[in-house]
Amino acid sequence: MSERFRIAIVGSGPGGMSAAAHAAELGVPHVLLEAQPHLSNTIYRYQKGKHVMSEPDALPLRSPLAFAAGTREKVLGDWSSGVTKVKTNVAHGHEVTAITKQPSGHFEIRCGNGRTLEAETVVMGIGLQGNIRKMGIPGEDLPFVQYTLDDPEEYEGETIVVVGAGDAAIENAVALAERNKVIVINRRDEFARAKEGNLQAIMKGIGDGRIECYFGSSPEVVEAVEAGPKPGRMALSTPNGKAEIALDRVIARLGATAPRAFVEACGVEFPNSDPACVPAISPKYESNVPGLYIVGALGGYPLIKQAMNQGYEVIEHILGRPVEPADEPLLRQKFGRMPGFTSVEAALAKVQTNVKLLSHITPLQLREFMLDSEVRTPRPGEAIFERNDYTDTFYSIVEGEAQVILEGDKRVTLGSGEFFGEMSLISGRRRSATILAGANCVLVETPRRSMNKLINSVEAVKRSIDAVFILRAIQSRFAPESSYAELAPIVDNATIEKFKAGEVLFREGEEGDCLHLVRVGSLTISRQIGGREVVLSYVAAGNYVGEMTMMGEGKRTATATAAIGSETVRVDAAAFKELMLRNPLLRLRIQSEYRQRAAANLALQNLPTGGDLISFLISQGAGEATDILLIDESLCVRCDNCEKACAETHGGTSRLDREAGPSFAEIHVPTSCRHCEHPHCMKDCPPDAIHRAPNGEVFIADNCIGCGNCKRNCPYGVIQMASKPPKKPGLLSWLLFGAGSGPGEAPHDDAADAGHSASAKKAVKCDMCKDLSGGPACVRACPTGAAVRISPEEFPAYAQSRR
Amino acid sequence: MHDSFLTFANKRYLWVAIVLLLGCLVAYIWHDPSPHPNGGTWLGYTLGTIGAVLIYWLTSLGLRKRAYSSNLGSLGGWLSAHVYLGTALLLVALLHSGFQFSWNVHTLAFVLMTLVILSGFVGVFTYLRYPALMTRNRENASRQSMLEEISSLDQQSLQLADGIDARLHAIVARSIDNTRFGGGVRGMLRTNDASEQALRQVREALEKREKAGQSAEPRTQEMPTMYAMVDFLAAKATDVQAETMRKLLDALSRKKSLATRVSRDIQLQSLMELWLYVHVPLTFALLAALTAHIIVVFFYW
Amino acid sequence: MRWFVRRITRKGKGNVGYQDFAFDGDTLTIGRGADQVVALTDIRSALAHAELTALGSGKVRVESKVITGVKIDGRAERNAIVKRGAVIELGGVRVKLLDAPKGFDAAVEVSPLESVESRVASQALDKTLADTWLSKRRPAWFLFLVVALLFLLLPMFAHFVPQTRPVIDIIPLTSRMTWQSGELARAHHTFGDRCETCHEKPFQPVRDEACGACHGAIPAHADPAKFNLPALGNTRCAHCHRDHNGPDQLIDAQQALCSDCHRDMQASSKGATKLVDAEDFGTAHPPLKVNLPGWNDEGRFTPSRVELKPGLREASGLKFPHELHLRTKGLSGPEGSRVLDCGSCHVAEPGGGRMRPVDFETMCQSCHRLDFDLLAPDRQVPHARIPEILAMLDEYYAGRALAGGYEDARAPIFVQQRRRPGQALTAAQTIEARAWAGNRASEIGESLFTGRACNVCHTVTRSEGAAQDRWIVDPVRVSGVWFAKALFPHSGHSTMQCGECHAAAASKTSTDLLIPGIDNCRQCHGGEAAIKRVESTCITCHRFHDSPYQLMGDLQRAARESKPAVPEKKS
Repeated sequence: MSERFRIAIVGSGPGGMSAAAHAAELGVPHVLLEAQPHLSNTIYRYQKGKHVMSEPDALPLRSPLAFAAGTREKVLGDWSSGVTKVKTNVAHGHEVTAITKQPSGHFEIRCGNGRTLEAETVVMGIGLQGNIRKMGIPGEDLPFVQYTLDDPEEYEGETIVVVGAGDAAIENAVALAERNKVIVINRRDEFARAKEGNLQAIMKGIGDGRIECYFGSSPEVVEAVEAGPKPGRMALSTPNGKAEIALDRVIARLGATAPRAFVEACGVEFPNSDPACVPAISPKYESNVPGLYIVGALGGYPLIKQAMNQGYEVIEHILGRPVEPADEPLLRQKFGRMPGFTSVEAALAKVQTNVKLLSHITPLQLREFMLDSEVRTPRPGEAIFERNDYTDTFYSIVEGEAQVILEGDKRVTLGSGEFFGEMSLISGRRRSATILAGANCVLVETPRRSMNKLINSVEAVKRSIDAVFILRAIQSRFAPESSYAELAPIVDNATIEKFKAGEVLFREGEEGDCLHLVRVGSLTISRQIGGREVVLSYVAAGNYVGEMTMMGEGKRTATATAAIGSETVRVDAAAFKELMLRNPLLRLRIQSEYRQRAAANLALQNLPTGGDLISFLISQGAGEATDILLIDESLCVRCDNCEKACAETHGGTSRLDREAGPSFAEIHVPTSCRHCEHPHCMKDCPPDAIHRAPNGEVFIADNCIGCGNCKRNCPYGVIQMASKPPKKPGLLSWLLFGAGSGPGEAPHDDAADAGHSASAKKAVKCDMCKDLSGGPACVRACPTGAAVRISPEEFPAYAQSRR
Repeated sequence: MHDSFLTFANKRYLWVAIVLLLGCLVAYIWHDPSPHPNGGTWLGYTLGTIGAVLIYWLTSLGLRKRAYSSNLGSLGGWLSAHVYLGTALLLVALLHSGFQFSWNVHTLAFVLMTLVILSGFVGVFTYLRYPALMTRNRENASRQSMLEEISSLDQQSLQLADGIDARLHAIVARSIDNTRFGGGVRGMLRTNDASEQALRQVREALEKREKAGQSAEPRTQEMPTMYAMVDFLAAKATDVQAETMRKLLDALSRKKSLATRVSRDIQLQSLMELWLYVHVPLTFALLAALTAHIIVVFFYW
Repeated sequence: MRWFVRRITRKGKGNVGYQDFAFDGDTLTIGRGADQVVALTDIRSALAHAELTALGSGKVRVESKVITGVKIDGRAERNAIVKRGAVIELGGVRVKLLDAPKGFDAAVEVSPLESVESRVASQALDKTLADTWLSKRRPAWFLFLVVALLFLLLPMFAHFVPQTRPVIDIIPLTSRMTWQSGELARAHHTFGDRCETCHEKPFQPVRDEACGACHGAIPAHADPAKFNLPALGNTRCAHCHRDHNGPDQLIDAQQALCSDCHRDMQASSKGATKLVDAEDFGTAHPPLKVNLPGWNDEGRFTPSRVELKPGLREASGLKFPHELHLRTKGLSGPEGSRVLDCGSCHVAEPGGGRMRPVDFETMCQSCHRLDFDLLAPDRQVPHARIPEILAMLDEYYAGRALAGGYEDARAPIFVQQRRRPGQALTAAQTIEARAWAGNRASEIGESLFTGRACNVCHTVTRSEGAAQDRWIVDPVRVSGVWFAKALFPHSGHSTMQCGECHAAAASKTSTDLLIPGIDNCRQCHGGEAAIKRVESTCITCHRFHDSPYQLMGDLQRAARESKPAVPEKKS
C-alpha cells in the first residue's frame, strides 16, 4: 500500500516549489517530487553568477519563498533555505515516469526509482525545459564530456569541442574561445536558431579563425585516449568524409526533449501541434484532466515571479478558497484614474470592447498588456505629444476623442476606439503630428516594447495597425485636405512592401507604375553616370520616391535602393494620378517637391565624389542612423581629445573609438553610436533599460543588468561593458604633478588591486551627452573642428560642402 | 560643415585680433611720451596689462582643453582665439616694451614669449599639414589593423621559410625580432624597420638560383653565414623551394610596405606632436619670467 | 649527466598542471624539430633552437643555434654560462634552471609564455611621444623654477639679506642688474648695483629723501610761502626726473610739466602771484623783461625789471654812438685808420655765457688818447682816477718850472732859459715859477675834463670845492645780465651775426636799447611742438631749481612733515 498525499507536486521549479512551500505552510499533506538532487534544475543550470531578473517588477510576489533579482547563487540559496524553513516535504531523485487518474478519482504517480505514490490532486510544474538531450553516441558519458558549462573561465589552453548550434552552445563557444581552442560542431549548415547577436558573435569568431566550425557534421563516437597529449578524441562525419579531433573536453548543448509527450501521456490535451504551444488551462490553472493542475512555463507563465505566484494561487484554488490574481491591485490602481471606475474586470471589458484593436487578444494577454501600459486622462486641449518629439509610445483611445494636427494646421478628430502614435512606433522617427486631447478623453499609453510584442504575437493587431498606418500615411503625406472617403481608392490598393538592405525598389528606365512611401528604413536614389552608379540623394522614412513618373514621363528617372532593411507603402500610380486630377493642390505640392529634388540631384551630379561619399556613408550603416559622428581626417590631429572628453564626461569609459572605423575621401566614420531609427540594441534588453530620449538620443538607463545583449546586438560595436570607475584626483593635481591618471586614461583602481573588482559591469554607450548643456562633448572638445555630428538628412548638403 | 580652427565662425577671432592690434597701434602712435615710449607710461601700463592678461588666458587653454564638461564656448573656438590672439600678443608686447631691449629679465620675458609664439606657429603649420599626410599614408587602415596584419604576415612567412630551410627560417625569425616600430624618440622620428634586410637576402638567394653557375659576387665581411646560406640556396634549391621562396618574398615585401607605412605613421604623428614639447615648457618658463617681470617692476618701483 | 625536465601546462584560472621526465645526456636540445629533447610547437622557434649543456655544479652552458640568440634574463645571448635560477626565453617558452633534485645533475622547468605576455612583448614599444622619456611637465617645471629662482627669488634674497649680495650680485645671471629696465643716468652710474640707495623699500616708489640725500642742497623752485601752490611743496623729484632711461635722459623736458602750474596762475594762487601765465614759448609766452640799468637816490646801481617794448631807452651814463664806431670805412686814429666790429669791444667771457665788460685802456685808449701837453706828447693821464690826474699835472709842471728849459713864450723867462747845473734860482724867481706851474696845471686840467678828453664819452660837471674833487664824472654802468630769469648763452648762438639780433649799426645814441624782444627769438625758436623751428621747452631758457631763498630739501621736508605749504600766522 503506497502512501497517499492530498497534493503531489511534480517538478520543483519556481511554480512547483512555491506551491509545495505554500502547502507545507498550510500544513496540507503534500510531496514535492524532483528528479535532480537539487531544487529548480532549470535555474540551477544557469551559468555561474548569472543575474536572475524579477520581472515584471511591478508585480507583487506572493509566495512563502523569498525572491528578488540577484545572482543565481543567491536566488537558489534563498529558495532552499525557505523550503526547509517551512518544512516542505521534498523527495529528490524522483523522476516521475507516469501519472494515471484512477477511477476512484485519485492519481497514481510512478517514479523512475520504482517508487509509486498516490495523490488526490497533482500540480504539474515541470516546465518546458524537459530533460537535457545527450549526444546519443558511444562515450557520451565520459568524464570529459559535459552538458552544462558553469564558468567558461575555468578552462584555458584546452581543445574544446562544442556540440550544438543553439544560443547556449554559441554563448559557451564564444566565451571559451577567449582562452581555448574551440571547435563547434553544427549539424546544420547555419546557425538558424540563434539570436541575431549570438549569430554575429559566432560568425565573427569563425571569421577571424578563433573558432573552428564543422557545418553539417555530426559526432559519431567519443573515446578516451590513454597515451598522448589529449585525454580524448572524437570521430565525426563531415560533408567531405570522416574527421577525427583530439580534444580535452566536449561540451554538448543540445537543448532538451520537450515534456509534451509525457504531459499528453497524462491525458492533458494541447490546442494545436505548434511545439511552442502549451496546454489549455482554466483560470484556476486546472487542465482538462480534473484535479490535474499545471503551473509555470508549462502553464504559459514563463516568468519566475508569475510562476511562484501561480504556485501559491493553485494551492488556494485546490483548497477551494477564492483568490484574486496578484496583479489585481496594480490594475486597480492603474484604472483608478478612469472616470466611472467600478472594478478591474469592468474596466478591462470596457477597454476591450471600445478598442477594436485589442478585441482579438486573450484576457491574460490583456492583463499583461495593461500592466505595461499607463491609463491617462489628459485635460481637454492638453498636448499629448508634439510634432517632432522623439517619443515612440502607442496610444489607444478608450473614451472621448483626440485631435490630430497635421502639417498646414489641418485637424483630424479621432473618436473612442481609435488609436494613434503608430507612425513613430513603426518608422522609429519623430512624431509626424501634434495630438491634442479632446473632451473627457481616456487614453491607454503603451510603451514601444510591449506594443511590438503584441504586434508580433497577434497577427490581427498587426493587420489593423498597418491598414490605419497606410491610410494616415497617405493622407498626412499627400492630401491632408482630402477626406478618408476620397482617399479610399488609393488606400485600398496600396500595399506594404518589405525590402532587404541593398534590394532595389525600381531601376532607372523601368516603366513606373507606382510610388513608394518609405515607412521604415531609408533609400538611396542613384543614377547611371559615366557607366557607374552615382548616389544622388538619400530618402529617409516618411518621404516618398517614384513621383517623377507621375509627372508625365513614364519611365523611372533613377534607381531607388534600400539603404537598410526597409518597408514602403506602395501606392498605385493610376489611383494616385486620379487623385491628383481631383486634387489640384496635391498636384502643385508634388510638382514643387519634384522641382526641388530635381535641382538637388543636379547639384549632386556635378560632384560625383559627393555621391560616392553618400554611398560610402550609407554603406557604413548611416542609412539607419539619426545622428552620426564624422571626422575630417585632414583636420584631425589625432589628439584623441574626443575620446578623452567622452570618457571624462561619462564615468571614465569612452563611448567612441576614434581610430577604429573606415574612411573615405578623408571622411572618417569612427566607432560611435548612430542612434539608429530602430536601435538594434533595444531589441533584446531584458530590463527594458534602453530608451530614446525626447531629442532622439538612444541611452541606457541605470537599471541595466549588464547582460550584454545590446553589446551583441549592436552591428556597429559601439556598446561596451564597463564598471563604474573609482574617483579621479582633480585635474590640476594631474596637470601640475602628474598625480593620478590624466584625462581619458583609465583611473587607477585600488579596489581591483585589492582583488575584488570595483562594481558589476554594465553596458555603456553614447548618449549624445543629453545631460550636458552644449551638446556632445566629443564635438565640443575637438580643438581643430574635425569632428561633427550630422543626421542623414544633411548628407547631400554635407557632400556638397566637401567638394 | 567641418570648421577648421583657422576659419572658426568666419574667422571671428582673426577680426578680434586685428581690431585689438589697430587699437593698440593707434594709441601708441598718438601717445608719444617723452623721453621715449616705455612700459612706465600710462599706455605702457595699459598695454602691459592687456599683454599679461592675454598670456595668462592663453595658458589657460591647457585647462579648458581638459575641462570637458565646460560650456565656455567650444574648444575649437578657444583654439582659434588662442592662435589669433596669441599672434596679436607679439605686437602688443612690442608696443608695451616701446622697443627697448637689453640684458634683463624684462627682455627675457619678451624673448621667451616670442619663442613660445614662434613654436606655436610651427604647431599651426603641422596641424594644417600633417593630418592630411597621415591620412594619405594610412590608406584607410587603422594602425592597429596594420600591426595585426603584420603579425599574421610574420606567422605566414615563418611557416613558408620553415618549409624551405631552417636557416632561412632563422633569417626571417631574426628579421621579425628586429622589426621595431617607434621605440624611443629617435626611433619614432626615423622610419626604419629590419624587414628590409631579410627581404634583400631572400631576394639575393633567389637571384643567385636564377643565374646559378655564375660565381658569387665579392663578399663583404658582414654576416658571412648569410652568404653561406645564399650559396646553399643557390646551389640546391628545388623548384618547390624556389616557389615557396617566391611566396615568402611576396609576404616579406607586403610586410615591408606595411611596416614602412606603420613607422611612417608613427613618425608623422610624433612629428606632429613634437612642437608641443617645446611650446609647453617654454610657456611655463614664460609664466615665471612674466611673473618676475611684473613683481620686479613694482618691487623696485 | 641526468636532466630533470618539468613541462608546465596551463589549465586556466591560474591553476597549472605539469609533467616531468628525465633525460640522460649532457646536452638538452630545445627546438621545434622532432629530434629535440624539449619539443616546442611555436612557429617562432627554430627546428633546433638552443642547446643546454650541463657543466656540473649547477652551471649550464646555453648555446643558441639561431643567429638571433636567446633571451637570457632579458638579454639576447648566443653563448653563455648560467647558474640555476637563470631564465631563458625562446620561441614562446620560458626555460628556468632549477636546483637539481636528488639523483639529477641539472633541472629545468619549461613553461609557455602566456599569450598575454607575448602580446605585451610585441606591443611593448612606445608608439607615441607620450610613451617616451619626453615629457612636458618635467621641463616645464624645471624652466619655471630656474627662471623664477635666477631672476626673481635670488635677487630678492640679495635685497633682503645684504650679506649675500657680494655673492649673488656678482653672478651676472642672478645679480639685480637683470632687474634694470634701462641704463641709469650717467651721474648715477656710480651707484652700480646698489639699487637700495634709491629703492629703499620694496614696492614703494622712490622717495624724495633718497634724492635729497645727495641733492638736498639744490635750490627749490619757488617759495610756497609766497605762492600759495600746494602742488609746489609736494612735487616728487620723480615727477620730472625719471631714471633708467639711458645716460642722458634724466631730466624730463616736457613743457607740460611746467605749464601744469604756470597756466592761469591767478586762479590757482588766488591772486597771490604777479607771474604771468606761460604755457608754450612759441604760442603762449609773455613778452620778455629786461634789467634796465638805473640808480637810486644814494646813487646805488639798482636796475629795474621792465617789459621790453619798442622805444624803451636805457641810461648807462656813457656817450657812445655805435653807428659811428661801426662805420664800415673805418675810423682814423693816431695809428692810422681802422675798422671796428662788435667783437673789437664785446668779447665773450670764457665759457661764453655773458660778455666781458668793455675795457677803456685796451679798447678805446688807442684812439681816445689822454695826453695833455704838446711838449710831452706821449705822457698820458690815467683813466677814471680823477685825484691822480690832478696830482700828476701839478707835479709835472712844478718839476718843469724848477728845472727850466720849458720853451713856452707865455712862461717866465727864467723858466724858459735853461741853466747850468748848480746854478739855482733866486727865492723870488722860485715863487714866481711855482705860481706859474700851478696855473698851468689847472688850465690843462680844465681842458682835459671839459674839453678834449673826458666829456667826449662821459658827462662831466664842475663843483666848487677842493681842487681834487672839482670834477664830477657821472658813473657808467651797463646792465650786465639783461635777462635775470632766463639764460641766454651767446655761445649757443655763435653761428649768428650780432647784427641779426642787435641793431647796433644804426644806433646813433647809446640810449638806444639794443636787446631784442621775444619776436626776435621766435624767428628761430618755437614751443615744444614747434614745426620748422627749434623745439624749445621751458627749461631751454628757464631753470626749475631757481629759488634764491629756498632749498628743495627744506621744502620737501616741510611737505613731508605735512605742514601746509603756507605756514599759517600764529596770532
